[in-house]
Amino acid sequence: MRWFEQHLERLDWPLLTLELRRSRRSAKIFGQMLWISIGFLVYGLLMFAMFAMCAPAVLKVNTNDSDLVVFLTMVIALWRSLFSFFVVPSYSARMISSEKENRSFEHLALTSLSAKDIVIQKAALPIFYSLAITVVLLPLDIVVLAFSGALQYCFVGSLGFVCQVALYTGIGILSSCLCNNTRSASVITYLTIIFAPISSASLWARPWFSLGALNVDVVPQEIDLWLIRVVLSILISIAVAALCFYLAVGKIERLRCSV
Amino acid sequence: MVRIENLVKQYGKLTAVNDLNLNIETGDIMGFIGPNGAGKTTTIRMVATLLKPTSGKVFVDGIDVVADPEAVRPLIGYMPDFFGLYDDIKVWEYLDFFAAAYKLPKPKRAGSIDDVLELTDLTIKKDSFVSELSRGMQQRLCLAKTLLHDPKLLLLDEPASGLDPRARIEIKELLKELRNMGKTILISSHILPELADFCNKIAIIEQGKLVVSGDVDAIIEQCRGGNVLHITLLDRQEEALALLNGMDTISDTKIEDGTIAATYIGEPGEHYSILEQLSKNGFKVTSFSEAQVDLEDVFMKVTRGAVS
Ligand SMILES: Nc1ncnc2c1ncn2[C@@H]1O[C@H](COP(=O)(O)OP(=O)(O)O)[C@@H](O)[C@H]1O
Ligand SMILES: [Mg+2]
Repeated sequence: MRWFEQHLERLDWPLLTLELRRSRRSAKIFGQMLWISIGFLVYGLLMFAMFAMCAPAVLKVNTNDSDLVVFLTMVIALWRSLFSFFVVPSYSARMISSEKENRSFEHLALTSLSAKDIVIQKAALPIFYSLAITVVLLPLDIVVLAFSGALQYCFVGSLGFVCQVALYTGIGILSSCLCNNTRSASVITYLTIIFAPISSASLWARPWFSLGALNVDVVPQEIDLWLIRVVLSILISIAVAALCFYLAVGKIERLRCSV
Repeated sequence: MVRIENLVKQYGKLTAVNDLNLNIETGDIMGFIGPNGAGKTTTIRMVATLLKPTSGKVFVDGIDVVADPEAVRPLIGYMPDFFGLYDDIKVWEYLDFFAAAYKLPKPKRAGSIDDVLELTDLTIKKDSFVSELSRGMQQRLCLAKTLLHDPKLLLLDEPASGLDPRARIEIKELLKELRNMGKTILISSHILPELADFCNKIAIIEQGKLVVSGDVDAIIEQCRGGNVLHITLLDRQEEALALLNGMDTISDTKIEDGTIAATYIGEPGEHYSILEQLSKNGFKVTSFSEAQVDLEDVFMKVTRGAVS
């Protein structure tokens, strides 16, 4: 991660560098990720214990699958879902609304950064972290999915994760532009994510990567249907994320002359 | 440097700035004075491109701030009345962030940061966290950030408010240094004495309207409406008062703390004739002087006039 951050600083994106320095110190993102990971490791263990008792019947776990593979798949999928669902929206919702709250936005508004620079640089951190997580988890994914014979889907799955993070970041930054305090921005973000059918579609595509790996005996036709859904939800996620970023840029442009 | 023409800003029904006209020449230090709620912050924000005027125009260095805010922003350094700092980073990181955000070339940044730290006397605090600085230091850091991109025009909104006397003096010294560097400065305050000694121009605003503006000396001259003479006598005060009241060149007299205050409306510089007449009539004058009119008197006079 450290190596990754050093390379990010070379981009010379001031807002990204600032966020890196701040989050490194307050350990906001990392702290949250660590706790979530630990929490889900425990949760995963419990689930695994439960599955170990009743899964063979319910999920038709292929006896060839090693228990470790099943466990790892679960943990990876849940950990990613949690990163995208709990860490990203709350972080994104804080971006502009906290600037407004502590009145640092007026300083930002006067700099030479364009509205587009501000949105991209503010949103970069969660997206880069999700890329980093993907890079770190990809070998594990490959191993796991190779075991379960669904290797072709691991790249789709990784892409899906990054797109989902981009989507939530987009929703978060847009609501943070619209709200004057972080709390209402967070509430709006979560409500949108929970209720937007599109995001729930992409959310609902996720569990497949955990359960799909368990369920290798599904008929090929069914897998293709899943794949279509996943690809579709990725495309929709990208489109909606782009729209959110576009609207956020416009909003920042207007905020600049009315702070 | 700054030309404000018929500037109006309305918030709903409230007119915060009402038909304001103001000119600031390059190199001017203009004190922008008015009681709280007069519309100073609103005006400064409009000049700083942070607020759109309801009507009227503002030009900075000949550029219309509404039409081309991107071109105006690099020219100005704006310090708000409330400094929103990021407090979870170090002083140099804070400045480095703004240096990059103002797109200063990377090799020049460290030098610029050292320069503004030096100027604001914060060099020893370079590695401290922003949250660890005193209020006065935070104020200076905010000013340091404002100076990073070497703006021609500084817009300072009540820079000394909320500071203890020592910090005020430090800020004042700093402003004097900036004046000597040839910056054009618009500085607002609701307390006048704060500004009196380093502005060459003042503009007084009340309820959104410009009451008076121009050279400090000219305004003092214009506002005093006759010199006030302070005369102290050993005795026979009442008699002297009667004599003074009888003179053509004296318009008004009163006694304040045992001293006669007489308003002289005769030829300027010839008030010694009053002293002559008093002596001729045998009054024992122990002191005779022209009262000093300062900006504060002008301010009180002008603003009270506008309210009533
Ligand atoms: N955002 C706003 N919405 C409504 N009224 C405002 C707003 N900002 C300022 N005002 C009003 O405009 C007037 C001028 O305010 P301001 O420019 O802050 O005065 P000053 O800086 O001279 O104390 C005040 O009456 C204030 O209440
Ligand atoms: Mg104000």
